[in-house]
Amino acid sequence: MKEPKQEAPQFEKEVVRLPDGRELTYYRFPEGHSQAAGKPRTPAPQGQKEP
Amino acid sequence: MSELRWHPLLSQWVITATHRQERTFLPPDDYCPLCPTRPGGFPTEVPAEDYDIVVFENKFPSLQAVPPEPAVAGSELTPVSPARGVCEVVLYSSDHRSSLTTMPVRRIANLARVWRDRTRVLGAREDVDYVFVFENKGEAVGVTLHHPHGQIYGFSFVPPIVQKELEASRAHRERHGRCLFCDCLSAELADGRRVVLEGERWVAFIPFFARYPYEVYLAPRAHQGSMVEWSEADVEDLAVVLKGLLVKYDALFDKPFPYLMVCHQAPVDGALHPEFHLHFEFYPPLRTATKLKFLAGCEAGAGNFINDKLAEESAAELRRVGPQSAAQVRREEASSGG
Repeated sequence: MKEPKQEAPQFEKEVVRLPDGRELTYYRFPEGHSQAAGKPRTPAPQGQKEP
Repeated sequence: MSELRWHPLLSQWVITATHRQERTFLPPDDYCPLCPTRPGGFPTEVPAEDYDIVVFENKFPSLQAVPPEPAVAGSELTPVSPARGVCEVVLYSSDHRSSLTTMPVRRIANLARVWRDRTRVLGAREDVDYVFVFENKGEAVGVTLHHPHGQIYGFSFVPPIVQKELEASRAHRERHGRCLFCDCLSAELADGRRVVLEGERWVAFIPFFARYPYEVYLAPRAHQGSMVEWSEADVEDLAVVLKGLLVKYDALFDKPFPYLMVCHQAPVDGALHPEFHLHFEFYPPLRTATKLKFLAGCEAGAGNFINDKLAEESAAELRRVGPQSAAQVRREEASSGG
């Protein structure tokens, strides 16, 4: 499969491990998608960050 | 316990996953495991107070990166294999009452970017040969959690329906030198009677050979095999046409419209698949506002669908309701501040 030419990244990604070992990925977008306007950004999640 | 058991009569794997019987079933809204974890509240699947889009490994997976050994012994006739792969849950929004239909176009575009990224991430894994993105919406199709979400399965094999499409596409390409789906799409555009909504890059239509009364295909005009080929313009136009289609679905019977949405894309098995054309398929279970289309004896037992409606009439019904064009979707989006 061919990939399109590289475009600017549209999101930030953070991968964490849940306490039971499962992987969870937060996708954060520049304009913010919090359900309530003016709400602070997603706080740092608990769980262990991937090395 | 989970494993793959070979079905020798149909020549395909069956996944057994007995632990899935224990999964959460229609919890009350204030005890949703897919909502953010509120301060002082019960711990949900997402240990954060808010989120944009989240992807995590399913707590009750049918396929696992490190699967248990099969609980039963196989035979030459009916081999068994560990249920290797990955099952992910994609949370579209932290808003429990939201849905793909009611989301702004820009959020739907962000979801498409996540699908594209997951295809890239899972497609790079040695144990994944196929990335399958789908959503089950509504209790009529067996949804157990109402929070807006979809799923992604990373199969260690190419699933049977996609395999069949691949074989048909390959045979057509060998015979005619062209893409089978491109030819189908050209025929639909030339005919026009079954087209539901057109964007600059994507088209929603009821295929000539629809099996469900309101089955819709959503496909790129350009020949693309995989989500990883999507440009930003592809993503943005997809979001507009997808939004328009879903609003039409809800407008059809003036209520939230249940559906199965699946994306068929090329395998990530290391081979080239120039014959394959990515597309979404929607299988709504409703045949009228109050009646369900069941998969009964002929469909389930013989594999032959009986469609109770003409695709041309269903497409006309869908064209009449909701936004009349992709431009109208964009205008309404702009006026609502989305």
